[in-house]
Amino acid sequence: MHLSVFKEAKKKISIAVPDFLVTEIFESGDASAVEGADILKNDLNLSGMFDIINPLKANHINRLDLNEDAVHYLEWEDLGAHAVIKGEYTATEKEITFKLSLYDIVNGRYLVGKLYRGQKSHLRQIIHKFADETVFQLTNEAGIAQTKISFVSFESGHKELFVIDYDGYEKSLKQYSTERSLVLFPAWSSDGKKIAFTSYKNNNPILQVVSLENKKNKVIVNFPGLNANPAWSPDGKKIAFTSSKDGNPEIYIIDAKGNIQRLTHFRGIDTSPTWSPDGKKIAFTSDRSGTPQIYIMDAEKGEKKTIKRITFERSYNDQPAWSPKGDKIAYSSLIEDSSQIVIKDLKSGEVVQLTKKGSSYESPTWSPNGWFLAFATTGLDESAIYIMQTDRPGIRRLTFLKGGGFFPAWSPVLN
Amino acid sequence: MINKLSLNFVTVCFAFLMIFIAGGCAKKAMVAPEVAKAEEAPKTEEAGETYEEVTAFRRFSEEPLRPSDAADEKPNLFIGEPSSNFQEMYVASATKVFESTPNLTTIHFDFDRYSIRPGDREILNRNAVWINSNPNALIRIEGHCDARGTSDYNLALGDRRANATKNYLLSLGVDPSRISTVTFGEERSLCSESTKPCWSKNRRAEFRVAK
Repeated sequence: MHLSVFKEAKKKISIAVPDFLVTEIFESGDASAVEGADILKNDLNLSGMFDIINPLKANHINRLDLNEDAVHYLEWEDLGAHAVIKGEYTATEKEITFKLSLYDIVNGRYLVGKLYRGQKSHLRQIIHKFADETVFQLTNEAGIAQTKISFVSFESGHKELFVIDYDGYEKSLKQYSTERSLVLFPAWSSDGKKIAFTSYKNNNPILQVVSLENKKNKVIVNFPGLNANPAWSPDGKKIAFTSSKDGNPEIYIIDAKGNIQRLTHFRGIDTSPTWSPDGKKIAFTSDRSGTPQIYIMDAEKGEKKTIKRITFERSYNDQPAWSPKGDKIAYSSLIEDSSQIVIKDLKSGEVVQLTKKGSSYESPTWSPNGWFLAFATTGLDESAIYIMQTDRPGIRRLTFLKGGGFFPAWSPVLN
Repeated sequence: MINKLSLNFVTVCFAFLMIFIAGGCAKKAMVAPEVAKAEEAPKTEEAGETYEEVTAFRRFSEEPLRPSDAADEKPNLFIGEPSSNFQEMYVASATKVFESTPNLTTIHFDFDRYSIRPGDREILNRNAVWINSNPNALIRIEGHCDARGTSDYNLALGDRRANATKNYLLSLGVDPSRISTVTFGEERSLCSESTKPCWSKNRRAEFRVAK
């Protein structure tokens, strides 16, 4: 096992985002055009795929384009741009409009244009939508600008459930629980409309589901003992979870009708289920070999005759998270008394350590396109959620809350 | 799509068409590694510039939180009626207030273990005597872990510690209906230093009583 060598880092695309044109505004001092362009540039940066062209030079060529009503592809190419985004902002009393277009400089052509109509409050959503459209047009993969991260943080002395935009925009922070006890393990449904989590509001860990549209919250599993670690199946029809209702922590599945199926039968600890993206397998943690290690079993048949151990390094591996493309499992591994984030390639068996000693990291969660992991710092450092791209060094801090950041869970694309 | 901008579109489209024709539709060699190949998006070349209109935006509740709403109309478990899988005793203990007591002593565990240590059996024997002499008392056993290791595994480990303690008491004749267990994993640490003494102190099963 070795520190990540980042040898497969994708080459970045150079993109220019000249200032947006303002065709009409309603309120004086409306800076939405500037704000929109800034958010777009930030989204493109955070996507991990782009280098932003010097804005002064970009504006210079854009002025040329505007004066002559043409796209000067040669000039853009000389500047080193592979792509250009142009924007126009309009605001009337009733609504705002962003007209955003993407040009492929390499092949000298217009790629796509979108006309977004909405309210001022939709500004960030609009820009995030176009950022993802840009990523998709140029890489054929989904972007992350329309994602959010749910996590737990202290509020009034209790761990509660929060959601924040993927870029950490502080005003996007929303609280989704007032359990006034202890909240753990948020998990998104695949349609992004619900979050399951564990709550101690009845003095016992039970499973609840909250709706993001109306914040309605209901209990779905409350056996005596432990009910924890909910994980939605990719088709959204089932939730895998840990329960000790039969005497010790085992893994079960509950479906939308309330039917419960038991998957593990080991007298020790079986916990932390995570689904493969095709919904056919579940990876989980078990101490059946003496200490916690990660195993895979069939999601329909359970562990009998299908169980396979996949971690063999060191003596403490937990919190498996299956990558969205199904090719890797991220997990935390205890290395000299601190927890580090590690990725195992299921095909090659190669194990790569993503984080470095100096702090302790837990609860890895994948971005829906599989390019990033979010995780929490624990231990002596200030508690917070961090994000790392898995193919290059560099760590971005997501949360700066006094209440800290625990148990991050990355949403699907929310469009 | 008919709107005020259509006249501008026609002008712009015409201008672009002129540029394309003048430039001979020259295709440049692929320079940027990730830009999609020209053949994969045929529509845009003849059409000039078209804009897809987008007016739908996802709704995320801005409402302040209400106390938990019980039921919804739909039959789906995840948003419908609450599940009814719970025992009578559990409901009773959920509403009671459990307090710590000097009469029941905390026991401790080895790292990553949930077996009762030989030295702690004496403590549990004494606890059992008190419990049996106070038949009206309801007992809650809490399992806890030190901060090393993960929150997930520790929550399960705390559960095993609480249950192992309960099972030992049952073997001494304590009435099972009076004992409930709960795990707090590493969530209720008594101390936060990364030292062996602090870790030792946190690996414990605590007793609380309600009348």
